[in-house]
Amino acid sequence: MTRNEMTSLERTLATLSHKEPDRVPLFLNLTMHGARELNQPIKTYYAEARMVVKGQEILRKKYGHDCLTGFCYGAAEVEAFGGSTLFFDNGPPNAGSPPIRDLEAISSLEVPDPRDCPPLLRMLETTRTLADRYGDSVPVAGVAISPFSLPVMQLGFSRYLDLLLSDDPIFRSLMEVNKAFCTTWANLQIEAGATAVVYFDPVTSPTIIPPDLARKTGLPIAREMIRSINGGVVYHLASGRSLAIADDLMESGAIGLGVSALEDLSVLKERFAGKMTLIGNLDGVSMRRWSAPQAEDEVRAALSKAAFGGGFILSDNHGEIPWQVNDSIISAIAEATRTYGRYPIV
Amino acid sequence: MESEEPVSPVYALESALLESDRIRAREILRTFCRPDDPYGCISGLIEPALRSIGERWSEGAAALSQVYVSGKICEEYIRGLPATPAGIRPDQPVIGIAVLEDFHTLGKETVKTALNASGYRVKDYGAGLTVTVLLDLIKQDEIEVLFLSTLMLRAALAVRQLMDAIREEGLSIRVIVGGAPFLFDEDLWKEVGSDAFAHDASEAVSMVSEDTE
Repeated sequence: MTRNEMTSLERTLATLSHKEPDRVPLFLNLTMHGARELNQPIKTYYAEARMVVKGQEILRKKYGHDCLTGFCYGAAEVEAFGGSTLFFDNGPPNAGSPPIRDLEAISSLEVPDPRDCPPLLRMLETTRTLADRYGDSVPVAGVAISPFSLPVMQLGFSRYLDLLLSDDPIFRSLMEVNKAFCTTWANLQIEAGATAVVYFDPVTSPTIIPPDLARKTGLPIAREMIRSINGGVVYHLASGRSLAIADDLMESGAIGLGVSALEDLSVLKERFAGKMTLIGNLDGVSMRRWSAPQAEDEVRAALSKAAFGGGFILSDNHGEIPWQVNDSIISAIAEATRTYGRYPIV
Repeated sequence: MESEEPVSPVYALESALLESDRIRAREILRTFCRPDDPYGCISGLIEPALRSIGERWSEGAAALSQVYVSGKICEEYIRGLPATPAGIRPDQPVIGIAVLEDFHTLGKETVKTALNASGYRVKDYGAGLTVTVLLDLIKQDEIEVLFLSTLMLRAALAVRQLMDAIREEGLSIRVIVGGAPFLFDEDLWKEVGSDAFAHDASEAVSMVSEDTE
């Protein structure tokens, strides 16, 4: 029996409710590829909300996937703290040198207003436009970097780990500032019409810190943040592992979880079934060298492991498909999802 | 029930390092290492412990922060030992380390501390380097082994340009890459023309050891 065709939003909401929709939703996290479609350098593309809107529209029309996003690049959040962004023609913008050079300065650090930061304002404008145009039929994803992971760009990774592991009160001061910022930023996106916010928190992953430490730091912060965000939240560990903190993630209040290609999707499904919708876990890095038949195989393997019963959105495992992945492979992923992702999956 | 089997010094050190127990780790090192034989301490105790922790990380059984802190604790101990003017490790190559193009330095710091903890001296070129700048630096310092850390795929692919330039200029430099893109795509290090890929810091150290033994 063929199920009635759902809108992308209906499809996504059904799977988030752990029910089988008409077919498995596909989230292609194409933040940069719109620039290619519009024949613009990435930096120019990101400089105007109307271009990102156009890029998102073209990409969705081209691939028929199930989400839109106003998110452009993570380094924008650090710009609010005085940081800089480095742009490249063939990859995502990256945070420049960490803006907090003196740890003592943290005690007097003020919470910046995201509305004073031009790239964040542009993301809000993009989100608002996409939500106005498509929000009743397509999920529009917002993104907020967790207060616990943002210091990787604010301080640099090793300096942040030194601070985190030293149990210094400065760490707690920084978290207070970042929590206030994160809540404001996430809620601005919800107010602009984002369907849900992706809470991007790689440092809490067992890949980066031990579960015991995560339970004292990143996880309680996440629970607090998720409660303070006035909308649905998806927890994303950005390719990091999750199984060792599975119970904690399920208690975090998040409705979905971005899962890693480093972990077996069957095991993840068994662990999170009925509790959190899994989003993933196609490996974006190796995707670059896939052939179209291989893309189809990868999609079918993921579907067979995690699609049954709903609670699954097919996506990449990092939250961003690399610039180097060819359009033909993205098309093959989309086509295979439409062909083999239709419920009931056999 | 507690086991009555005696715990090996390597296992004891590894346990202390995994718990970031600096005091216990130093006690173990002081107990089992002879100050007049730092190299023996490195090869018999520190390297095996760090190698095991690195393997745990590769398997998902340890966190990157544990690898990083373990290296730092051992490095601190080694730095406190008397060394000959030539350094602790005899016949070591000229080693450089850098982050290509971005500012995520944790991988570099982790490998550097593990190398230092293993008695190697390392020229640290920092982060955010372009291929052109890095090439000038490694030529100027006559680097023989270069460790390159990358986080972004784009930066990993840029290693190709560096390798082409190294070969074009006929330089004899062994380039060992590491970082997330290489972990996810295990053929990438060959594609970019590098000489080797280290999954973790201890494997990086063993690759220099192989060269010098």
